[in-house]
Amino acid sequence: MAFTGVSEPGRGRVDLAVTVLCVLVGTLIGVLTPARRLVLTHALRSSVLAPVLLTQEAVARRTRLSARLAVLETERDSLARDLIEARQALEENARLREVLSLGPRPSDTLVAVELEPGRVPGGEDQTFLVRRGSDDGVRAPAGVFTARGLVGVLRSSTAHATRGQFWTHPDFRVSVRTATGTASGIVRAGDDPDQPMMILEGAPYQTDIPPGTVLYTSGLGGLYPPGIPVGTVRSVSAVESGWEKSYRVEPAVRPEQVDVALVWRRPAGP
Amino acid sequence: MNNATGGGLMTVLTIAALLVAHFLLRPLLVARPFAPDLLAGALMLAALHVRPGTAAVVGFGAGLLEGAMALEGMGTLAATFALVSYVAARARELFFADSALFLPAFAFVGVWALHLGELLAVGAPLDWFGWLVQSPVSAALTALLVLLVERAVTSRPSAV
Repeated sequence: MAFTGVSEPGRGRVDLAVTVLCVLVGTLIGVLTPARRLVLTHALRSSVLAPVLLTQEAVARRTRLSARLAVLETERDSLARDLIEARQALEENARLREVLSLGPRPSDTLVAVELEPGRVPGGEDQTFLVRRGSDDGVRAPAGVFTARGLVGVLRSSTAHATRGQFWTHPDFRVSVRTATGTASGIVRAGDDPDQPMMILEGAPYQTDIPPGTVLYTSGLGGLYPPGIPVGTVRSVSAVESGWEKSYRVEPAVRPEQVDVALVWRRPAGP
Repeated sequence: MNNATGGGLMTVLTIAALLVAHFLLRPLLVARPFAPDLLAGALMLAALHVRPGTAAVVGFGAGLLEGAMALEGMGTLAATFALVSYVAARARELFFADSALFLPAFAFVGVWALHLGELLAVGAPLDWFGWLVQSPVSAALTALLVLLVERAVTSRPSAV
């Protein structure tokens, strides 16, 4: 084989100019704001990549549907039970608020969305795309979760698409507390990419959190509703002498298990 | 249609088929770092057959699509792929190519360089195991794939 490809005179400069232009345009796109890059990402995924994504989705649905059927039936039964209990609690709550002259409870909104995970080669699922945007009532920033627990957070949105981060993303943080409220801290993704674990940081030094303790969102900051399961404490990770402890936490939800989730829209303030 | 035109069309179709296969099989391939990299293979085939400027444009387009699929590195991946494709196409012109070892060596080095550029473009911390073990295996398999495709598709070089 001989691949000589001898250049015509002058064509080398044209080739170089085209390449420089490509690199410049690429760099320019790279420094755009996340929202503007999201517009381009959404445009490509809705046009050139649409047939590919539709095929992938159809195959994934068919593969997962039979495996998930039993789980979905169990979830449906437990949801029906929870709904009956919640209805009674809501009625009691409304009566109590009336007695205390608090007025009606401000209602929050949950929007169901489908997540399209993005993944870099050799990496874990860290980001996802939602094909709904501010026109559909999905606005960043907002917490994303399922019935089993916290999934991630929406970071940037346009009118028709929103980009989010799974909890595995290095920038992800969430404020948590135990069910009794005796300990609190900040949860982030673990450092070992081969072990999808979380790390609880900033827990009080004097308070021991026993293994098996479930951590819930504290609701501080207004991104996540309070009481969403985040993970279960497994062991002490590190001890800062006399100051704080870190714990290894098993996540309630792994990104690869999620295809549909809920986006929380906090109630409007008084 | 003469042989050169037919060979050129076949090469373009092969590159397009590899790119489509890469994006269709992406969920499977990204979870297997030792697997052959079809996108890199397509870019190396393009670098072998088209002008450096055209190779850069193909790399730029593939990088944009890869960034849209990965949701990371949009733009920087396109710039990196364009640059690596251009350098690969220029290397084909500069180095002595009339050797049986040229094609596999060319594809291996090109794919390995592309993987390094990809890591840097998405801003991931350099994973030494990935770069020194997984990536060379993937590059070797990709080079083998490029060699097989090249022999199956073309019997003579063509310029697009």
